[in-house]
Amino acid sequence: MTKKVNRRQAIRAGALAGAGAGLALAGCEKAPQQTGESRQPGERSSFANEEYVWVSANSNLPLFTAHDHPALRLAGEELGVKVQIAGPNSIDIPGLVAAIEQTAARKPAGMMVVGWDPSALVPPINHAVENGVPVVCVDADVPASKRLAFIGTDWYDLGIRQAEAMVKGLAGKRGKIALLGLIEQTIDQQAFAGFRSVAEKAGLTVLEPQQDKGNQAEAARVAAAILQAHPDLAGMAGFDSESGPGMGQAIREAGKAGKIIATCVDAEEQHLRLVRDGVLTAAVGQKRELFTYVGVKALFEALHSKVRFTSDDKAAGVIPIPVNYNTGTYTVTRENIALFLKSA
Amino acid sequence: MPEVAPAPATLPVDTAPRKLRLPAFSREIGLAALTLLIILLFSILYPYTFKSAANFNAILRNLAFEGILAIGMMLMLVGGVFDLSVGAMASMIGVITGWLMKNAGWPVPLAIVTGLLVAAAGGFLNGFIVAKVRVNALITTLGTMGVFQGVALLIGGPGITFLPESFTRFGQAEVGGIQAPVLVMLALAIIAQYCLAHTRFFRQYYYIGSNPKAAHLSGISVERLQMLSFTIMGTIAGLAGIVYASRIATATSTVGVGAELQAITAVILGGASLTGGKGTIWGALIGVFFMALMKNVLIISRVSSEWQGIILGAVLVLAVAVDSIMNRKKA
Amino acid sequence: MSAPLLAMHDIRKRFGGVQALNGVNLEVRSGEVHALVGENGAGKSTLMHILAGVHQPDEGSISWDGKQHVVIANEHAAQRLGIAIVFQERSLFSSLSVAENIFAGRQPVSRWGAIDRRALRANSAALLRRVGLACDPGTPLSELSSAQQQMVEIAKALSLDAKLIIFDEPTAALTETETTALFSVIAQLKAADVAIIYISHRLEEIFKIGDCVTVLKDGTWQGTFAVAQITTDDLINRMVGRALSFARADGGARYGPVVLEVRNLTDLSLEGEVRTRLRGISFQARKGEVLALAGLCGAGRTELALAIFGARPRESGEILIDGQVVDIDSPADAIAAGIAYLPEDRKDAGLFLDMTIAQNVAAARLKDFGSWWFSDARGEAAAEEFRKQLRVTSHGVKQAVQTLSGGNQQKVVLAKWLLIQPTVLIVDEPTRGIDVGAKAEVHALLRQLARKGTAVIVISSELPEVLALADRILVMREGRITGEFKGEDATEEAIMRYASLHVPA
Repeated sequence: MTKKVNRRQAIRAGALAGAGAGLALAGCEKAPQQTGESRQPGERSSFANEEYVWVSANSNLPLFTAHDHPALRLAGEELGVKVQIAGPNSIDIPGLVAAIEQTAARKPAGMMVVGWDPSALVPPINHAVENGVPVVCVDADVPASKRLAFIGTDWYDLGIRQAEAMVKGLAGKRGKIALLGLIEQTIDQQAFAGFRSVAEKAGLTVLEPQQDKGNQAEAARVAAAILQAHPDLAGMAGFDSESGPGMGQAIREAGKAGKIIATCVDAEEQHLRLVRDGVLTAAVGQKRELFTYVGVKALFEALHSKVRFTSDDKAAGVIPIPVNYNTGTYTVTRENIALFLKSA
Repeated sequence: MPEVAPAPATLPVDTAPRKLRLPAFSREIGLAALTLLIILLFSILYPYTFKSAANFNAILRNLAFEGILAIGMMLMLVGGVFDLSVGAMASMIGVITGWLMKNAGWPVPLAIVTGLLVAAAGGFLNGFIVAKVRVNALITTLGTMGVFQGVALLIGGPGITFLPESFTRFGQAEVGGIQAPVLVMLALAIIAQYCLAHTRFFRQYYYIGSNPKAAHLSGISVERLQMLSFTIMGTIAGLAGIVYASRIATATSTVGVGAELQAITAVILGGASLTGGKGTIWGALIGVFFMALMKNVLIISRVSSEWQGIILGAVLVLAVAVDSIMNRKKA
Repeated sequence: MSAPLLAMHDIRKRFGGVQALNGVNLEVRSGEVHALVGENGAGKSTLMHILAGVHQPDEGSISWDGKQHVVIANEHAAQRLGIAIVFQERSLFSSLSVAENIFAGRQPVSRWGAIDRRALRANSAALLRRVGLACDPGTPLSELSSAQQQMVEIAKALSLDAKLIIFDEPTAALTETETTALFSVIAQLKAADVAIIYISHRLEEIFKIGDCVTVLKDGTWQGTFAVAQITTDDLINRMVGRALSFARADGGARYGPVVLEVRNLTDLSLEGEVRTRLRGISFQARKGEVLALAGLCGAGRTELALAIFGARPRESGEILIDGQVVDIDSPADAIAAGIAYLPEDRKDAGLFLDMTIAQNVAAARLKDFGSWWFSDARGEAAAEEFRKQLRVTSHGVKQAVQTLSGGNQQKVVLAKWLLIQPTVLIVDEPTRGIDVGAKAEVHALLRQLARKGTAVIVISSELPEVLALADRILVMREGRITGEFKGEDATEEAIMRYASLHVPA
């Protein structure tokens, strides 16, 4: 051995480092207290050990860190409870399943799960609920599971809002309207239906929806092709978060800004700039903050609500919260854009 | 045994009493000790959330998928090769099996057997290209990884959902509180451990991994054995995909993305060498358990997901580096 | 006579326990072809490595081009002096073009630091004309034959403005016409006043092109002679004449029947391989006989062993064991037929270095230790037997073989083959790189095996070893058997003659 490392020394150093790291990561934990009944509501400190966990795949998506995470913390502060973020930072379904199960195993007061897969997440959610951990789905639903409630956007309603903005933008004009989105997704199909219900009544011709793969470059390519194929196009509506920026790019490059009435879903910085510049007519934003904010409160209510339906609601399986929360939308146009832009 | 009389003594034979030597430091033992240490430490720090049956059950049921893959990967690495296509293979076979039972309406057992046969064929294809056509294993399996992943997406789209109950009953069943996929992994591990440690046939893989040229000149059919190990690996990867699909009632097309690297990492941590000839199945299981344990304690101690990646990466390099220092040979 | 370009005086070099060079002198003049001859291991390579800056001499002085006490610190220093070597194993890049090879790392550059392609082409073309190679400088090297590649090496040496070019066995892989072409290039170089050191095993070549010849033997200088004034016999005597360093085996051995017969074996050369091809080899080996295959490096002895062992494809020919034709397509077939082969490079092809002695010994006969429940204990017991019998110095059979000395490692490989109780045991350079004591042990072992009835075939480049061990000697040259001797009749001179000269068949 050229450089002799004393084995015992190395092991000792490793053990110390490990112990040190472990201690640094966490203090000692207190025993979990029984939640509910025994405590007085309003005494904030009595819930301080309750923990509400939000679990998602791709958990560091900018959309999440900008909207869902801050609102989660806000709800935690208001109620005086702990909140926590968990889940893999890629779209890793086995990793998400593992995160749900391992989070459930430590018996938090409640869990919010983003339903990345309506089928694969059924067993872990049911497992958690059966073991006494309340679960609500936020943002995307897993309707086949035993989750207590779904909190998120009603996409049929979102389709209606976009159609209304479109009709208003066209100001009585009639013609062909193109749709873009992740066409195989249930939520997009619901939105298309909502859009049609308003647009067709207003006498517009709605074309078959086109696939943009949830990718800005693809959306731009598809939108450009549509503009080519339909020189007489009156409007265009996009239904995933990347549709708007992609459409905007295509419309600008075709020199049709202002001539085509374009609406989209989501109102992030990129979408807002396009509205400000008049390339997009309207952006329909989801109230994402409410997903986690209402999520924590719904879980909290499920545990602490004083509303009674039976002599023993728990035994009767009655849960004192609604099943569906439509968090709703807001519509951004040039008139109100100043209120939404961070820096004018 | 031929009778050979002792050769004339020209060199003194070492007859001095031997010093009691410590057993050679092995990565398996080191890792097992570290694993116990972490369990101990976190049992003290988190006596309620970490030290609970529910938590260990959750760890176990979630390591079964990678555990099954790691068993096959250990066989590969003992023989001095590896297979990057296993994750995609698991996805593809899950989707094919799911498609056959849900969309084509085949009986569940027939769909499973067909899935496993396709897996074996895919593995054989890898082996044939590597051993006979002599394309480097990295390139071959990187290529077939893309092919298998593509086929999975073609057939399954995002995934085949809500698989029949007669299929999912198995993956969600529990015996003595332990979920079926974990039991499948353990059964496979016992069989593999027996084969690798005790049968003459599988012993040959250690020789191939140690020195393929010397193995060939010692009468071991290196090519045939390599093709077989890829075929076994493919079948095991298919099994992992089917078992996982049964557990979550869904054949997700991307279930195996990244799983090949997880399996290789676990197996290396558990004592295998990228140059071959080393490792045991128990080592593979310890490696998988260690990785799952690390992820669990990071969740338990509420470390953010960015830091989880950094810590896991550092642990891998550190573990192998310590081993390398311990085993450094005379220059 | 003009002053020598290069003068090396009393060069000594020691590697560990081996005195590789012991007072060697060499003087080479510009415009002279100076041949350097000697057996394998006589010290030629060490001497050339000193010239090339790879090794430093322990003692002695070098003067170059009138300067005394020149130190050649490394390969770059040698290049700067103008010394170039045309290597036996080519040091070229087969995927690059001829021009890129000639100017590897020294391509002409333009003012902007980019490679000046036009100059590169023009310079290369001029050099190729000088060596008489008619090909475009842009041709990929891999499309050239080995002779043409050698010309590229020479062009590379010329591009360095070499004053001295060393040719190390340049004709080993060349056909006769290619050799003639090479000689004419050498004649041109000579006319251009370049000094040449020419190393070859082929004595007739030396008489054809050499001006002077220096003879080395066991690292000592045997003299420098004008080629015109020395005879072949004289040269051979000076190369090999020496007292036997090993006692000859006890004679009077009784041989049994023929156990191995090789009939008309011709091998198939593998794609892209630069090797001697075996042509129509026939011989027999008897039970209890030690048969030696003598010859120089590259004569095809290892190829013959590999072909018999099924590790090298054959084009034609039959192998008979105990009078029966056996079908051998792989080492597994050969082992089943009772043939064992101890390879030349034990670390590369013989040992499982990170495995234990017991595991190494068991490698060729795993089936003896249980198919369904492999017993390590039984393998270890068998290995322990051999460890005692062969006197392997180790802590036990569970020790990894990489921690053993060369001699002990060789005994482990031998034990592996003794375990299969071979009818025919072929050992390729069995004592290469092991110390004298272990050598004697290995010799005794091989003789003993023969006495017990194994046909032992020894391939060795050490003539004293061949003479000490063999009952019968076959001499090979360029893929053919060129001579046969009874052990007691053979002399080093006679073997050398058949190994290095064209002898009318």
